Amino acid sequence: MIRRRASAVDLPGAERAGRAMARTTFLLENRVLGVLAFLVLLAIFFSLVAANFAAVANANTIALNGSILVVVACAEAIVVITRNYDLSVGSVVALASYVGLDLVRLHPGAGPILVLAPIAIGGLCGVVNGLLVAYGRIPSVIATLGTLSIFRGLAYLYANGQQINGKDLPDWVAGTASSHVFGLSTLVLTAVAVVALVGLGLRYLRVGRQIYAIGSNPAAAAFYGLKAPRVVFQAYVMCGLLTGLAAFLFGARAGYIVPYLAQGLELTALAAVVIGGVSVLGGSGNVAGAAIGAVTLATIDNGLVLLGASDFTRQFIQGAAIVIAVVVDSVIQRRVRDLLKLMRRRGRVG
Amino acid sequence: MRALSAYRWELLLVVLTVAAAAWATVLSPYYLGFDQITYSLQQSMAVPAVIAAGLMIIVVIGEIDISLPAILALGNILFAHFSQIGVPVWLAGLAVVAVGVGAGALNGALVVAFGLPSLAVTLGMMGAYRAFALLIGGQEGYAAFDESYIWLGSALIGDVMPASLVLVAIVFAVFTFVMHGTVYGRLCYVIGNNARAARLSGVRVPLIKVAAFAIGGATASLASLVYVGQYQSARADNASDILLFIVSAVVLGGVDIFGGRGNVVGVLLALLLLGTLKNGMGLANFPGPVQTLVVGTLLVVAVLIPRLAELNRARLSPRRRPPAPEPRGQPP
Repeated sequence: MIRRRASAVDLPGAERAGRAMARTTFLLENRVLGVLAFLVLLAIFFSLVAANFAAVANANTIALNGSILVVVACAEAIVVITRNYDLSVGSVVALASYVGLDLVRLHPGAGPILVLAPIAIGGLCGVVNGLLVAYGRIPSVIATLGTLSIFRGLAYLYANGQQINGKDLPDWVAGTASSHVFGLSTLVLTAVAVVALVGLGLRYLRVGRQIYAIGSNPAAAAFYGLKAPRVVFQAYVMCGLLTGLAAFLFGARAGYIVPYLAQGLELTALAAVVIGGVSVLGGSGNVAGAAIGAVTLATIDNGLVLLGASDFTRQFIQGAAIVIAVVVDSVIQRRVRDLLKLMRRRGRVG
Repeated sequence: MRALSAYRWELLLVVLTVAAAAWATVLSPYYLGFDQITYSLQQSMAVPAVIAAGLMIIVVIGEIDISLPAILALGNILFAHFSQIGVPVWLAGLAVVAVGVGAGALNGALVVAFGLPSLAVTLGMMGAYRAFALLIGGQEGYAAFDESYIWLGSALIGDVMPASLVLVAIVFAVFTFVMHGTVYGRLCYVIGNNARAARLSGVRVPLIKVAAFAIGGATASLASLVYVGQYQSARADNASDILLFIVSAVVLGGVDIFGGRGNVVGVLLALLLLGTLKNGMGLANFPGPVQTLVVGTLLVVAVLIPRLAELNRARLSPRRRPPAPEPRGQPP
């Protein structure tokens, strides 16, 4: 359909290719802007219909609720860019937060250095996922569907029917979640820092470029000499470490920690990633988009709660948003493909 | 001997099932009886078995549908709603299955029309179907049903055989015929092996794919007719943890997750194994998350073993050549 439209315009070849290219680059570059515009429209809509929405206190609530999801969405985005999925992030959060904070509880003298415990546990989970997917060549959906249940089961076994109460933990844990630096919540600052660091890393570091290369064209990356398994493995480990960090924040915010924590988080994280314009076909999109996707979901949640809307609306909007985002993604991909074909025919791209 | 090695995987499943049954017998002396075994199998595998048959076709063509449990929940709610307003049961059953076929076909149409990855599409549709279930049934759902509505999930035929297990047997007989005895079934394998070659040789790939998704939706809604009778409950969040069980059954049954390979009997054997194992774990008082842990581990190991064997063979083979690149023909 799109191709027909492109060829129906009777222009000299070069100009036609140029226009098609301009249109496609515009679409590619403005995918994040589209989500941002949607977010603004959403905010305006909620301000008009929900009395308490447009207030500083409410903006704070959205930011606090959204910041942990932002970290998880960043983690998920790294894996999705390599053309894989991680369905186990919810279980990793449960395992890392329960075991990690239990270590904190047992060693109150060690101090804030133990924030590394949940991060390390998350990293270990990432190693397991990475080994299975990258070196075991198991499709990521199957591997992480398996580890989804394995990590959750381990958390349950470790907890042995107990739960960790927030008041048994040293003060610095809860302090992390409620403290402010320069008037901004530490949680929000952490999320912003994660987005900035991961975003810059993916853009400028060698491993970041490799992650995009593997995702956008695995065959070309292999011919170029990239070791795909190693890059995918690294992506999963990074995803695990970040999820471990999110697990700490999750635990620090929750009043008590149970092995049932963060059930279904993987779906919300994937939704945020897809809505934020990261292509499920891999190789395109960035973590800033995923972060905006996460904030969008948090805003929808918040606005619907203020409106007293039912669970139906929330679930339906989330589901429909995923499908729409994926369809838009495929339309863009098809345009890129058509454009490349057009340019190749004119001998501009080898 | 050759026949034995050709069915090595199936044989292993049978041996494991017998071992699991022996374990269950050790745990409880009451386990080893026809009544007890059929009853517990009905409880542990009748519902997932019906869905697994449909999921198998979808996996064989190289796709996946994770919204099947949501279609099941939507079917539950609709069926229960029909019971409340007094629709005759046969009409209600037909209507529920029709909705399931429509939902599955919609998934397939989205996948085919836009060339989308089926996981992402069905992830979104999963939310939408559960949302509709929530819209009709509300938070509480339904708990009271007309007598005729619970027959399929709870009755004993001739006082011995659970009706749901008879349904499972019929479903698997039909699917064995469809997959191994009809042109449609063979084309599913062809598409799973090489969709491009299938398309170039004139197979109507989109149509067959949409049909496979529609069949998946049909089995999910058929399973809801069993579910309602078995649990006498219908809620929008029904069966939210069943996905692991059915995917494990399909993969353990020897269906290649990349499509194009696997047989119906293997899936049935895997279901018997998982069902027996689940009953054993129930008798041993394993808590729910630990049971899921065991099933999840089985899933990962079942995929990992053939892969490792393959990698090892590749390493040991004298000529280490990279796989030949896919031949590229001219686009039509």
